[in-house]
Amino acid sequence: MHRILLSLIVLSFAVAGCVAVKPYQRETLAHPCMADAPWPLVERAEQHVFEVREGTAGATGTAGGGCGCN
Amino acid sequence: MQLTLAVTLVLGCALASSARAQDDDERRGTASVTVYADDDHMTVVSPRAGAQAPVATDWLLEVSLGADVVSGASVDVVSEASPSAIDETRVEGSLGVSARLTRRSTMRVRSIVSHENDYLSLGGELGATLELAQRNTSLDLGLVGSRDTVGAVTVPGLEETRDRLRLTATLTQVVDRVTYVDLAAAFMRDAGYLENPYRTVPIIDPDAPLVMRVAERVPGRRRAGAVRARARRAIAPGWFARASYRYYLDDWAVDSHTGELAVMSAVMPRLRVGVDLRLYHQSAARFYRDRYQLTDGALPDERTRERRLGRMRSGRAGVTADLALRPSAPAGARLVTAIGLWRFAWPDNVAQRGRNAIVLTVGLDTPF
Repeated sequence: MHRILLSLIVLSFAVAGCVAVKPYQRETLAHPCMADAPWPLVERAEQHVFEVREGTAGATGTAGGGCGCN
Repeated sequence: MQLTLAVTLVLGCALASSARAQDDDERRGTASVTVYADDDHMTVVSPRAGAQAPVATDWLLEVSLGADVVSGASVDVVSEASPSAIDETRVEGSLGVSARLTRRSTMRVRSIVSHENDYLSLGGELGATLELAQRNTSLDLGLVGSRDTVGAVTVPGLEETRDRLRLTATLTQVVDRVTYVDLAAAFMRDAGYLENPYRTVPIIDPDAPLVMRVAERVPGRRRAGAVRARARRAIAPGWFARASYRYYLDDWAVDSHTGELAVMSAVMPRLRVGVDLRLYHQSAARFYRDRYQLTDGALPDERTRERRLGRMRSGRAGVTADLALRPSAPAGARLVTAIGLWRFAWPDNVAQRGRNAIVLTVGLDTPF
């Protein structure tokens, strides 16, 4: 797993510059529906359900605390 | 719950008064309520509120407070947690600050506290984001750690600790004028007391018609890794799609596959609607058994009937709608409503092989 993390870091520098979309070409990319989390209120709540009900988590971009065992 | 809202309002007002001279777009407040209900008599109501505001040039303060109010009498609760129906509350709060260090880099620090009557979690997050290649590439690194103190109302004096560590790296790449690709990897490590103090395991003695119940026991360390690939793309004017796949593996031999697909549309200038589907499949931990029995009179070293460590599948289908309350203000108040239908299945669990649930969220996101 450490190798994967390191590979991502190396990959990010490797691919940087391969694609050059100019700022004035980003109207579509800037649309709220293209955001990382278009509805963070909803996604955070659902993520909590996943974590409580399922046995695996991670690589989902959220963090929380407590067990919520029941 | 009233305390949650009161504290958040006070903090929100404090943030507002400290940030009058700053950019309006960065002063935002949120409030939401999520209700989970399933056909196993379990209901969870989760109010949550948060606020963010700049406190100095390039510095943003964020605060949130939430609660889970749990009531019910599910199979889990009645047989494992307490002898009757329960009614309990978990409260979680966070306070964080993020700073723009340079034009292309930001960092964030956050503390997270979560408390319920038999559980306390104290944690923190440290993260940084770096933008590269004229913002066509971004790399986010995050480290989250916590120390949890576990107790049990049925075991006076029990006070065990568990330590959690999460390291995540996310690479986001602009592919063309309408497409993003994200790659994320996470490494997770839990150590300490990882059992549930309420859970017992039935053990069969093959030499006698006897079933005894003993405490659950699992290894004292769990290391896991997960990777996720996701694509976000505008598929037509006003229409957007995203698809992702996640793979998880840990040293308890649990692995899982998660696939998600969503389609969103700005159907009207003020209204955005999305539909989504999520499918999940998980294998069992190496020590999970349908039934345990004594071997030469000895108990199995590792034993659990935790259904989250057994084979399971789940599916979710949902609809989300997002309405701008003030049409003339792009960054104005928005009302978000979501409803999701869930199905959980545990093929190896004889007590309950499946459960259906509904999750409803209503929230408000507004500048102040």
